[in-house]
Amino acid sequence: MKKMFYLLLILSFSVNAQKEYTYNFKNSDSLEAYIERYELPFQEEDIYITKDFENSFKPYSESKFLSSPIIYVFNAEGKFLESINNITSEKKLANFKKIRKRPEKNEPNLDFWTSKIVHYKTGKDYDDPKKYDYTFVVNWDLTESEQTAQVIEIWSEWYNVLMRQKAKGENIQIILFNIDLQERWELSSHMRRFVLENVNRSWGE
Amino acid sequence: MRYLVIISFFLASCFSITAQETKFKTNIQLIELEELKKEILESEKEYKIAFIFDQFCPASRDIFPDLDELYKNSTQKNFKLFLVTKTKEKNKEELEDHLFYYGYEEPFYILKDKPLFGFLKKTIQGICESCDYKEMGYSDFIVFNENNEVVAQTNYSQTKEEHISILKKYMQ
Repeated sequence: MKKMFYLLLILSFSVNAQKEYTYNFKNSDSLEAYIERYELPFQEEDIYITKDFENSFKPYSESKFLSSPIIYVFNAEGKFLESINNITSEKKLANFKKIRKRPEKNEPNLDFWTSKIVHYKTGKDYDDPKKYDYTFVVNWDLTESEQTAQVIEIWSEWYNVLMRQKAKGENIQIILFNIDLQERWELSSHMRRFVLENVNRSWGE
Repeated sequence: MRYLVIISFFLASCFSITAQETKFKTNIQLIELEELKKEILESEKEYKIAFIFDQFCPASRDIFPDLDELYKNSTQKNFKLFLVTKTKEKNKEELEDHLFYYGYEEPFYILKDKPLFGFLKKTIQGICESCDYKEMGYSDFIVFNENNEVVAQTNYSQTKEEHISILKKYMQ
């Protein structure tokens, strides 16, 4: 029953399906306030946002990857392996042997993500020369809905188990990718209005 | 110079021991039913909670995170949890994954002499003769006091919320 509930939750939580919520621009303060309010265990250094509107958010939002909560997994070569949702998370995150080995064909590499993100606070580009066995991009956002408590639980479980894996010695990287609209893009007031109108209309449909 | 090397080696060893201590480890114990009963009876805790668990039972999986949270939030630890699982010894790795995912480090018992049939009946009767096993399912539990008297026994017709409110009373 719970599985069914979460399956429905995931389906309903693709950004395209969020109905009640009104999207707005966020900044590092709103991210931190949300993390604090819901006691998310996230660590500052792992949190990233999209760099700008035109070259980062727009192509990303046009891809099929703008949804939450979901995790995208990449191998040491940056090849996309698979996405993990709440149904598969226990099996895959508790035991990396269960993660798909062969990369998915015709899917964007990790560069697709890392070229579009900056640290949420410092604004610095993602630049980590270290090679990791796996990189986990955890999509999250600041939505408020009836499902918020469940989604918070999911993000917390995911982050905690990945941190346990790190502590165990697994050579992994975690990117907590906030997919909200960002103040940092510094759009003109006209553009802001345009983006909000479009986002709230198309995502609310 | 030689002393410096020895001191450095000693410090490095200490550091590696400390680092290892922060690592998460599950605590799955293989035990015979009779030994488990003895452990429950001999525990001097105010309350002893025998929880019957099945990793593949939705009700068990549903209540487990709440049980874990209650455990982690309890300050007095005036109780001891005995989580007995239906998991077979050969499937220990799957159980380890489950416990690792939730970050559960407390003892979890796999029965070495797990009966081929009637696990629930035989396990409950083995732990508590006076308990009505027919009323109980996976995710149910029995609470004993320090005199080994049954002070609470849940049944499958109760909701998860009812189970949690009973557990809250004893897991202080």
